Amino acid sequence: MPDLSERLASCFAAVFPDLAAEDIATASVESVDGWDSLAAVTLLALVEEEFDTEFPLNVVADLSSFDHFRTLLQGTREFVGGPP
Amino acid sequence: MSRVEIRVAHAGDRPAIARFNERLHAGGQDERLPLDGQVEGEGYRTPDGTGQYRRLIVAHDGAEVRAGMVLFDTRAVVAGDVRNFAWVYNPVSEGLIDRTWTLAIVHLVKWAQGNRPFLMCLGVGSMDEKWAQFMVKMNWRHAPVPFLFLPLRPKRVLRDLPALRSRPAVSRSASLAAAVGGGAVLAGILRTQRVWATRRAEVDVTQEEMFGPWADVLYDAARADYGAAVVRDQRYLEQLYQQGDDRYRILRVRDRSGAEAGWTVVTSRRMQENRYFGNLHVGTLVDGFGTLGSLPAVLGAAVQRLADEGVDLVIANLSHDSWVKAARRLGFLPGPTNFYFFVSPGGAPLLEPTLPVGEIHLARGDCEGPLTLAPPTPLPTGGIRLS
Repeated sequence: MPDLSERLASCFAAVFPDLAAEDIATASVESVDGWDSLAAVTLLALVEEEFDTEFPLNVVADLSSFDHFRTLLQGTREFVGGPP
Repeated sequence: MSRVEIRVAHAGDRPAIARFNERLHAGGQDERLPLDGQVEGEGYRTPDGTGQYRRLIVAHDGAEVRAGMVLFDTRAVVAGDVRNFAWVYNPVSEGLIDRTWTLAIVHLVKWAQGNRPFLMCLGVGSMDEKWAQFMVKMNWRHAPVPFLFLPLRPKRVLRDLPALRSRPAVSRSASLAAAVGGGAVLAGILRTQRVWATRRAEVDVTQEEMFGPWADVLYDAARADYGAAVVRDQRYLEQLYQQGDDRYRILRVRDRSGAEAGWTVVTSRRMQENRYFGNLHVGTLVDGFGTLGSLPAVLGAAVQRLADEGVDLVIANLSHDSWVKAARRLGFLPGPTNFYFFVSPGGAPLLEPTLPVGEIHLARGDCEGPLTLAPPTPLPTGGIRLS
């Protein structure tokens, strides 16, 4: 079972295919050219599907980097070891 | 991104909205949020207690507005049930010019969807538009709304329509067609005259100053004919098409027994270097309602009125199969549509297999209204409730 970061990275790679694998961990709205509103909503939907969750409204505006996604997902206990 | 709050705009936000618009303009974007409480091109007021109003929703970071859009709360009858919903339009985000605010529009739409699960949007312009793709990504269902047109002065239309003029090969064909009268187009006009001639004898058409209780009588009689439609009762209509707003002509159609058969709202505008219509005088079927059997007469009345005004071309966007069929019977021709209908997941069963677009009644008067197809509004400010 891939860990959280790997699963999250695969979501980023799907939405930003031009993003080099080594740049994914530091990816952010500011650093990725194609990260517009459409990419943002695509990424959000993909991550929610991958982790079978729905981000609460009050954190949506914070989901502006790989690190933010990872931090939020880590805060949800069931994601730590993946689904049962 | 700084924390943003999503809320209804209030009068105190106007300076921030003005600054927002200025930043977008400086960044080379034409989009803007409404500033003066008026929805441009519409004379809409929001009397208290109607449960029907437009509101500007903004994403505000404490100092500045970073995104906004309009929600128009009203009601629709869907498969026999009256349901509250909101039209969504005019979404604008500072993310267009500054990626810091890319997520503001996502936040805004998710907020709207969380507060009003049943949202709809009409128009959009193209499925290539980012807003259209955005709604698709949000799992909104969508369908194109047919575009129909009837050239009443075919030579002029074929000669002057920018879409024809801009393509040399097509332009030559159009010139040739114009010279000979434009076969199919001419046949369409003759069909209109023939169908309308037979129907005209069966109905009385009157132009009304405003909608009255008769609109409710018709609405109650005809609503079951439609799988879904915005509640077009007197209260709704008299807010949308106000007395004294001479951009619109309200035509009431009754059969010979005096029973309400339908109504239609039309407008016309002499275009000037318009992107789609050049300098043509364009008549638009803005809105309408009627028992399905009376639609040829209702549409015929609309065409006759616009012909009397001297328009070159009549256009309509109509979704319901019976309206499309009636228009085609009258000689309207189908054209490529850039008019799309979207509905949020909370709007089920709209656009699900049990309730396709052909059973839903939509017209240009829905959502944002006819916009630039109507002359500029002569009315004082009203519109969006900034509270």
